[in-house]
Amino acid sequence: MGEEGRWGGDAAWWSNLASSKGKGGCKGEYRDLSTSLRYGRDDGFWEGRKVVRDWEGWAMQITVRELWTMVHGMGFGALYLLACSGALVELWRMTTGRGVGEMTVGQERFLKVYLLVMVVLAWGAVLTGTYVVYPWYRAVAPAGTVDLAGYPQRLLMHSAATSGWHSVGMEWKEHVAWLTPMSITMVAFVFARYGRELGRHRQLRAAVLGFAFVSFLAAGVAGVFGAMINKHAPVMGGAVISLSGEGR
Amino acid sequence: MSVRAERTNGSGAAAILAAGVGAAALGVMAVAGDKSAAVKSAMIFYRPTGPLSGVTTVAILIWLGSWAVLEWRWQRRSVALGRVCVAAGVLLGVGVLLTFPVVGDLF
Repeated sequence: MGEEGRWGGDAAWWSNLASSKGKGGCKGEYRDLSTSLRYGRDDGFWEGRKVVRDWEGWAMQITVRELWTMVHGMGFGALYLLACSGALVELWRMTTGRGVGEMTVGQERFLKVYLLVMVVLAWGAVLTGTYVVYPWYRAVAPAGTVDLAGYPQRLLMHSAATSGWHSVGMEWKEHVAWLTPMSITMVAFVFARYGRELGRHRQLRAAVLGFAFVSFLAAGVAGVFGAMINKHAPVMGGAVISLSGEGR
Repeated sequence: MSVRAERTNGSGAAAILAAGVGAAALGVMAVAGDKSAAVKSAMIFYRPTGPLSGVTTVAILIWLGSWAVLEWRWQRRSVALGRVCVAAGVLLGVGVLLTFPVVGDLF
C-alpha cells in the first residue's frame, strides 16, 4: 500500500497513470499498481486515491449522481425511444387502415398496456431529469472555484467551444422534453377510450399518430442533447457505489 | 342481439385539443420565463430546479385544466374534428418552435 494523492482532473490522473510502472490489462497481470478513484465528496471534486497493491479484479464503481443520470437517460429515456418506435409502427398500421379491423381483444389490450407503460416511462424521464439530475447540472460553483468538474453547466459555459451545448442544447432539451409525456398521455387516453373503434375515426387516428410522432422527436432531441452534454460535462459526484472489486 | 352505439368523437377531440393547448402553453411559459425577470422569479417553485419547475408545472396545469373543461363540454358530442385537429396541430407547432431557444430569443 502506498502513495495517495488528490488529482485536479482527468488529465493529471491519466498522465500519472501512464507514467506509472503498472502494465494495466487483464486480471493477474496488474501486480505493481492499481488506481482507484473516489468521487465521494459532495462538492463534486474528483478525489484520486492511488494505491499500490496486488490486483485481484476489476474495480467497478459508480456514483449516486451517475446512477440517477443513467436511470433518467438510459432507463426511462432510451426505453421510451425504443418503445415509441414500436408504437409508431402500430399506430401507422392503424392510420393507414390496415390492421385495426383485424385487431383481437387480446391485441387491443396489449396495445393499451404498452401505451400505458410508455406513459410511465415518459413521465419517469422528465420527472427524474427535472427534479433529480437537473439540480446537480445547474449547481452554482462557490466563488473562486477553479475546478468546475462538479458544476456541469458552469463548465460548459466556461468555454466558447462548449457554451452552445448549454445555451442551445440544454435550454431546448429541458423544455421540449415535456412535450413527450403530454403527447403520449393523450395518445394512450384516446386509444384506451376508443380501442378498435379508432378504425372508424380516421381524423382521430391521424391526430394520434401525429402527436405520437412529435413525442418521439421531442424525446429524440432530449436524448441526443442529453448524451452529448453528459459527454462534454458529465454529472458526477455523490456517494460511491461499488459494483465489483474492493472499490476503495 | 344488442348493438353498441358508436362513441362520439368529442372525448378524443377534447384530449387532442388540450394536448395542443398544453404544448403551446409550455412554449409561451418557456419564453416568458426566459425574457421576464418577474416571471422567472415567480416560476421558481422548487429552488434546486429553478424557473423550470414553475414553467413546466404551470403548463401541465393549463393542459390538464383545459382537458377537463373540454372533456366536460364535449364528451357526449360529435365535433368538427378536422378543425380541432388543425388547431391542435398549429398549437403543437407553436409549442415546439417556442421551446427552441433560437426562436425564443427573437422575442
